[in-house]
Amino acid sequence: MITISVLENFSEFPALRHCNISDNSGEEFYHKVLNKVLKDAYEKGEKLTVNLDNTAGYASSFLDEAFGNLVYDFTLDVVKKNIEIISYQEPHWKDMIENQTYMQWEKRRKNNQNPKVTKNHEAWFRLENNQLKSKIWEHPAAV
Amino acid sequence: MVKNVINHLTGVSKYYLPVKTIILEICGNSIEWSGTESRQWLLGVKYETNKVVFTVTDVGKGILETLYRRFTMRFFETFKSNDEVLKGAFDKKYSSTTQEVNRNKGLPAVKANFDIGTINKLIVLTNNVILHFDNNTFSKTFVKGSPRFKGTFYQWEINNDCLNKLMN
Repeated sequence: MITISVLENFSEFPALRHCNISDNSGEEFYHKVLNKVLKDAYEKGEKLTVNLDNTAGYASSFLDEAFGNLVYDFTLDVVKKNIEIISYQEPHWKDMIENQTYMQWEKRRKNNQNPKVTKNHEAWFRLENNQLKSKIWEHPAAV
Repeated sequence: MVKNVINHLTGVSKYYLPVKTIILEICGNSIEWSGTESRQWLLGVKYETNKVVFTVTDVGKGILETLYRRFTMRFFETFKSNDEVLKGAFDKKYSSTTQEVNRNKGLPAVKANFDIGTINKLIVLTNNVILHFDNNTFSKTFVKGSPRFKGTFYQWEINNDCLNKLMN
């Protein structure tokens, strides 16, 4: 089992949804941390545990963007089978992610409503026809 | 700042997660949607005996000007007052301006914290509406021609009862 925590592997101060409106955004957490660790766990056939506890607190948008992108790139089925969320301090976040975010982003995935990125990221992993592929899938919209 | 507030109320310096969440949600909305110059917003914290009062203000478009309501919804809500519409926004009745299905969790998260008692006396003033979540009889839509607030103003309080709610 692979275990990470937002506090240890990212920041004590998680902030808003996108990189263009805040530091330590959900978009940044996804691209710097979450995408790679789920890819590793998936390849090894291991479960990934993500601990949300002991930060300074969350905005819903941070969590929605980070865990929603997982569903978009790996599918709802893979995410549900491979991820365990720990949120003892605020159980409602685990509830929101598992009962709203996951389903809403699966709908986005099926409707090809691409995730928005607000800065250039290194290549990241996505499942296509059950094969993991790494590339830069999205670019920031031209302003 | 949050640690200072909790230290004021309890004598122990530590985080209080609901306040951080509410500030992030409100300021996130302000930064993303209000259209204020340089994305400015203002946070006020007043330390009183046994309680702390918070205010967050922006002078942007206001919530009612940035709500997305489908044409059919607007038609059926023609006779609904703006305070009812604003309450609906906190109850997740409307879509986000982006129309992405996963959006629109921020205002409901603010109200959820009031509903479970981790904050008290939540007041929201925006455009021509004021909502008093603790006493709806004071909520109202201003009459036509009266001054309106161009922007969004939030006020709430926390005390030791709120902190105990979180611990229970």
